[in-house]
Amino acid sequence: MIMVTKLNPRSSEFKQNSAAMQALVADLQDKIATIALGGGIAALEKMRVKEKLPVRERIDALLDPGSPFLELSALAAHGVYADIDVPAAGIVTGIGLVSGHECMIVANDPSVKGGTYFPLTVKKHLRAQEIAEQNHLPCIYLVDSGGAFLPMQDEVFPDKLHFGRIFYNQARMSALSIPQIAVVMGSCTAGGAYVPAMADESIMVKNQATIFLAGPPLVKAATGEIVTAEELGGADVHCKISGVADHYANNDEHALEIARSILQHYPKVKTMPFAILEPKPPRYSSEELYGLIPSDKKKPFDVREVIARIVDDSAFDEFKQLYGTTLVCGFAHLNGYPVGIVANNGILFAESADKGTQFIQISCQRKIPLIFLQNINGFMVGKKYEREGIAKAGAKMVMAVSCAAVPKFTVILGGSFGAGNYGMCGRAFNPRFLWMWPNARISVMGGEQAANVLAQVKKDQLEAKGIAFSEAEENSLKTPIVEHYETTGHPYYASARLWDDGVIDPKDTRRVLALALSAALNAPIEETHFGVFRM
Amino acid sequence: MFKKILIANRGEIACRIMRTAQKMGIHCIAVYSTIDDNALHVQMADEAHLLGDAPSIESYLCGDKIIAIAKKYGAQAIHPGYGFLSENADFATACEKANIIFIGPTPAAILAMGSKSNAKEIMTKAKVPCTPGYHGDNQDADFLLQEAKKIGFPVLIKATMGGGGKGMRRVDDAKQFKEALASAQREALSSFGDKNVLLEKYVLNPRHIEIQVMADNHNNALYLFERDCSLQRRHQKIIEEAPGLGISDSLRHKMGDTAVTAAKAIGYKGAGTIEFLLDDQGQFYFMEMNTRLQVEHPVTEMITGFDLVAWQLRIAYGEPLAYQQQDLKLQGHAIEVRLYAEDTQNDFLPATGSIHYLSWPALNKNVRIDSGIQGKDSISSYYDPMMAKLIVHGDTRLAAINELENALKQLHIIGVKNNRGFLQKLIALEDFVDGKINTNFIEEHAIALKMSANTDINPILCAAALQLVLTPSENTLHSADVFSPWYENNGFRLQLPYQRCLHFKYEDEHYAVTVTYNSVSSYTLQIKDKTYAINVYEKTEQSLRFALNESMQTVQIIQQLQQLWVIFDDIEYALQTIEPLQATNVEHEQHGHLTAPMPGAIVAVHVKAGDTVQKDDCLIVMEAMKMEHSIYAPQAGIVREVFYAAGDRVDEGAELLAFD
Repeated sequence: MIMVTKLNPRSSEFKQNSAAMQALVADLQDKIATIALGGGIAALEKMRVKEKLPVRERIDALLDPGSPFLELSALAAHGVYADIDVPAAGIVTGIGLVSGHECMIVANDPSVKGGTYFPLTVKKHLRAQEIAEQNHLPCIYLVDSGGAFLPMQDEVFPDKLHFGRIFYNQARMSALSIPQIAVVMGSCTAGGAYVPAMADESIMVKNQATIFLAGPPLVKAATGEIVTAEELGGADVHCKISGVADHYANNDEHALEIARSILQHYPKVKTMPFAILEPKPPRYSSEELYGLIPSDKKKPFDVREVIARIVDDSAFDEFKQLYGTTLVCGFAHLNGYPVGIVANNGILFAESADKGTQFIQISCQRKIPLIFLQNINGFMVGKKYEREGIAKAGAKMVMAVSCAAVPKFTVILGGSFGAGNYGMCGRAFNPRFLWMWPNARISVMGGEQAANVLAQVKKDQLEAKGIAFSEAEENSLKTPIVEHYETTGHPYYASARLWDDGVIDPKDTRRVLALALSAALNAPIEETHFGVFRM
Repeated sequence: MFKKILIANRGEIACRIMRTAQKMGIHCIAVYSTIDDNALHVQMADEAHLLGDAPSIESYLCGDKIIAIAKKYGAQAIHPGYGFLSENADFATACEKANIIFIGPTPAAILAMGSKSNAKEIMTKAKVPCTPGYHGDNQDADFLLQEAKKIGFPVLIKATMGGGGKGMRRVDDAKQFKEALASAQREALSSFGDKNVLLEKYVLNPRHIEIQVMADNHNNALYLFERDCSLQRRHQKIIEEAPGLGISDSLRHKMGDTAVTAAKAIGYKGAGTIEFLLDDQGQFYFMEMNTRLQVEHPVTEMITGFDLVAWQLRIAYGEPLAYQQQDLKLQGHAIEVRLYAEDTQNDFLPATGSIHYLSWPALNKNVRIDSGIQGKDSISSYYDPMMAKLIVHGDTRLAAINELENALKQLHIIGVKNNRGFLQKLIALEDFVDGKINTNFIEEHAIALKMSANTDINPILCAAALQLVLTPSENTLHSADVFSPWYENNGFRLQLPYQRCLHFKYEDEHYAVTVTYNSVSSYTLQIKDKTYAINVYEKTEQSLRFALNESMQTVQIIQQLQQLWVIFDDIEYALQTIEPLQATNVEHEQHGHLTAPMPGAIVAVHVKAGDTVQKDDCLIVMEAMKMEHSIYAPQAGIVREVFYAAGDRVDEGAELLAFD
């Protein structure tokens, strides 16, 4: 069914919304542009002098000309480490085409603290590998890193999801026949040495790349041996003597060309698990998404207007349209791929959760990928609803979402609060990808709500002691709470900590989802087995 | 009339003969070499039979095999075309013996005219004026040098058995004489199996006027007026026209009558051409007689309205000429240009390659194409590099030039270097339009002809860059994800612009084009300090329509691996794409190596490893398409290694020797 919009782009509200969203997008673009400079113009210049390409140029040269690059979490580590700026967490990750194959690129940025691993660098590297493993994407590591950032070694070295996990992932992916290719373009010291060593194939750039377990200073300290880095672990050593590396490259461009030719010989052919249609653009402009989202976060919006701007031909067939109306479910095609869409249109009631559960079950039976569009304040509260078993309904939805083995994609369009985040496939529920719009907010509950709750508790405590709680006192209690939630629920804050895979411009939503859907189809769609549903 | 004939030739002339013969209801048998198995003349023929391998000596020159095929398949006659066996008296004799009619003169007439010295003797006796020269048998180099001094430099050395500029050298002073002599003798030997040469006075500023004659078996002979073949490069004609410029009726008749006298002097029959050198005083000298149908015969056909091949067939069949001299009327003006596969920038060296795109002008009664090629053909180094002829007709010479200009604009042969652009420049020269032509015309106008049109190359670079940007990758051809957004080639980045730098080489210059992707069809291109806003409207396999800074452009683009041809405003631009990896390695290009400028065979190697050579010393002599080409030392130095020996075949760009 072709959707008909009710949006009026000439209304003052639309214009006001649009201006507000555009300001957010402009701010996002500014941030990303700065982050893309890595360690800064001077640091990039220094790389060029050494005949090394800056990390983003390395990626451009590695990818097929004109290939899209779906970068992940560019805002990683943004404002996280006091006094240390680590743009993009010192590592650029993302998906792009290499010799026709969608590959996961993991590229150290040596202009940022020598490419060393901060805790979020590790987290970002592991997240890229997780995506690669889930979606069967060949991994290409462009290695140029001094290893762990030593002042924080306790936060990067020992734990389960720390440095060692990188190699564990490489081994496991290799076992799953997912190619692991390392291109060593700079230093690759200590633990880092295992990235090329664990790779299926590795390439080294002469006079630039070094691989060793211990660098010259450590060797001298340990054994007294005096040796240059090149003698210890240069390309000549590893390609001609030790066999630690497989391919010898004259420079960055040559190394990347070798990586491309390795992928040229990767014979996997992409197959489709279902019929695909010729894509049709939506009937409504994606730019109108700017004017659709109210600048006042308390105001609701009809999520169907969003769907009309991301699905093919704005055609959407709703399931249970008249039941549990605060959750919109239905089937559509996105860039020709069949999708099931689960989208919030208000607070979740038991009926809406049940509807969602049934819809997820249908999608899993038919192996149709699921898209979750989050704008959720949570499940309904109150005596009536608890008695109706809203917790039971929510649990069923969480069960369905958790077990659904079809590719799941989540976009947070507005609020993502409380258990609503869970039922709507939040980060913990393993969506293949999760993105936020720049206007979105994420926290256990809304800032106002939290402030009200705490104020209520305080008021109750004081009233029990017979003390009055003035409005001024209440406000001075609430303001910092609201401010705290505003900061810690902000998409930049979330993205900096890798609670998502990136903050995206709303108008790119369709394209980003299409790229992700296509990438996800590199892995077969598994059978879903649900657990016990509480009836 | 004949029922079945065999055409012992290839290329455009084989096709041209078949066109007439088939129209006359004659069944045509073609012969071909292994590399011509898919050639146009084979496709056009009613039947075709293999002769042998590519070298002419194993195919089109194998008279025995040709006669055997003719006998086996019942051909009554053989048309030899031009070149190959067309002036081979032994072959004509063999045909006679095999009871097959040779469509051409008698063996005796061929022999009489085949030896230039012999021919001049006969002509002198018949009171036909000849140029001073030495036509004797003494081939001693010192003796010939003395003879040359007697004649006075400049002197022309010509192969006695030769034709078509092969085995021909102009020598301006005594010092160069011996090297030129040796080279001419070698070329003569390889082309005609006879190394004898003759010497002739080199007539300054001469014009090359030839008279078409036609004689039957009944003692009738006519002349079909003259052709002016003065425009030549490397002693080979490239533009021929009729009538000759400024030839008065009385001179025309005088030359015509002389030609008929000459033909009759040897009992000629069939189509023949008497070539004269005409000096600026109106004196003309007999040069030679070509006892065959000439390449340029269509210009005569255009001005007389007669089909010379049909006449040849009728005469060979024994019919008498159906016309008297006074019946022949000269109508308007015709011009022929020859389209050669050659590098006009590099001394007109023959070029080879595959044709990737071919377009002919619209044909009508005034525009004719005689061609032996079709799209996707390969031009090899085995045969003559002429690919096609364009012949136009107009009421006046100026009208014909106009036709020619228009037709050349529409004519494109892409993939093989050719002289189309050169011809365009040539016919646009004021002196050409004014008819101030002689056989040195091209040398005299060399500077004007070398100048490249002063066009802005940037729009061409923009088109070339768009071609690369818009061409989908072949890597994803087998993917079932047919509408994948990954294959959209749009350079999509989250919140960041996408730029690509593309490198091209055009006329030995490097150019970099930076492309910024704005949206699906909108790009910003930067070339040095110039910025272009581009909107693409249509892209097909070989064409592109785009707006460049708000003006619409339509160009043809043909891409073959790293070669890229852009046809823009009817001008062809040949570019090379440079891969990013190559672009970074440009400065590391090797020096001190000499490579073959063309595909061909090594004729002589004058140096060996360890030799010290001076700049411009002749190191190696190559031959391609029967033309010799010397390779000189680019600077003084020592030869490190020579990779080929005489007799070896080499590809274009093959490293011939290393040089320190």
